[in-house]
Amino acid sequence: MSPRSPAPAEGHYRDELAAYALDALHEDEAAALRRHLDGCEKCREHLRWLRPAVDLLPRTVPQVEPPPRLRKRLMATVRSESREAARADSVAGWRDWGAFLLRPATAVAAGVLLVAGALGGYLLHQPTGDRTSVVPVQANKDLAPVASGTLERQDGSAILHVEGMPALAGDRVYETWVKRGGEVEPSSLFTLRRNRSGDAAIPGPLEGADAVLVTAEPRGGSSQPTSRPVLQASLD
Amino acid sequence: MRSKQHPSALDRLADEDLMTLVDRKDPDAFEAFYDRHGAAAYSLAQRIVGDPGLAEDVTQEAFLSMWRSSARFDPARGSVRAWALGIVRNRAIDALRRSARPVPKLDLDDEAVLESQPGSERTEAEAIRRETAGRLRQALGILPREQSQVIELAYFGGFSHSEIADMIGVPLGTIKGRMRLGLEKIRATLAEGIPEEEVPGAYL
Repeated sequence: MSPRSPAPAEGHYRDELAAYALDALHEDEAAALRRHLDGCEKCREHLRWLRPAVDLLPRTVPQVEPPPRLRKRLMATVRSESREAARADSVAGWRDWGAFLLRPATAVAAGVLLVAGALGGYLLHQPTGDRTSVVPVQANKDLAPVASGTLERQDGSAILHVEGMPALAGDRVYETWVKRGGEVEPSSLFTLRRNRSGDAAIPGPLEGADAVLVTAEPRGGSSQPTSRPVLQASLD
Repeated sequence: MRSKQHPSALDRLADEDLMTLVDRKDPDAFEAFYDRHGAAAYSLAQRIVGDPGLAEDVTQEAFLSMWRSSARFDPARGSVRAWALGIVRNRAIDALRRSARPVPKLDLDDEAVLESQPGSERTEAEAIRRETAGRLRQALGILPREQSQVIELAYFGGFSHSEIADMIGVPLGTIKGRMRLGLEKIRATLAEGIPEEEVPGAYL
């Protein structure tokens, strides 16, 4: 055993775990082993240790380029399903509006809402998925004198790219937040590359949000900001 | 197709962050995901099923299942690539099993461990197979043939331990023991200092 291996699982189970990792057990044996794993940390650890050996196997295969038509076919299906989903969302939205409008108390404003709803629905659900815009990011000059960045919006989400960020202590990460009205919601975490740049996905939804903020937080992130924003990107 | 979007921004994202966007059904993120792992996936599929056309179908099926989230990425299990290739392997093995191949009889010296490839592709598949056997041994620090053979039959052939025991004509316990010795040796070799970029999941 290598010096890095964990405390060994018992002999019988080590055989079983290797066969299991290679997907060579019969289904009933695999099920029995999974039940054992539920209660045996030693075996779970051994399996975790074994996994990278199995993950290596695909790399021993000669690499061949897939035909371009595979990518074309795959992406045509994906994009058409994505458009379908957007259309279905749009229909569901109209159904909700219908139920809303049928309530007597809301009927008064119906005319106005209908127009606003039609316009908003159209803008939100344009099926092409091509709406992108780049928002500049403002740095807090006290905390991050040389930081800069961009927020690239596409549909409901965005990608944040930053450069010249202050280095983080080892137990800290940067956290992104979406500010909406008085509320701030946690979004994603990122760390920096050696050249002090970084990227983060902001899954959104960003419709109706005021700004995206970045703060330094303890590793694992926080549910509310615990320090002043280092960066801010104002939306609309 | 990509020029409409900002591929550079997506390309800069770590695999895990890209998957956050894929989970949200972002087709551009999915395209970037395919561009990163499609070739490795197709290569693995072709190694398993032997036939390029079938490998294409298998790869497409696997990626569509990832897009449709019938399978979800779990960071606890390992890298994005290991996850994706695991799904491709399962699909490829399923395709092999559907083709209801006969279980071959082998002896230890038989290089052609897998006879499941359709006849039309036999020659090419044979060549690939021989090259793979060589690479596998090289990459794995020369496992004894009896160990690499059972690992290949299980992982690339989708055979169960009892099928392999039957094929090679040795007891079940011996097969499992060889799998264990082989895998543990590969793993120990990994731990003993293959450069980081050589560790699976650490590249790309």
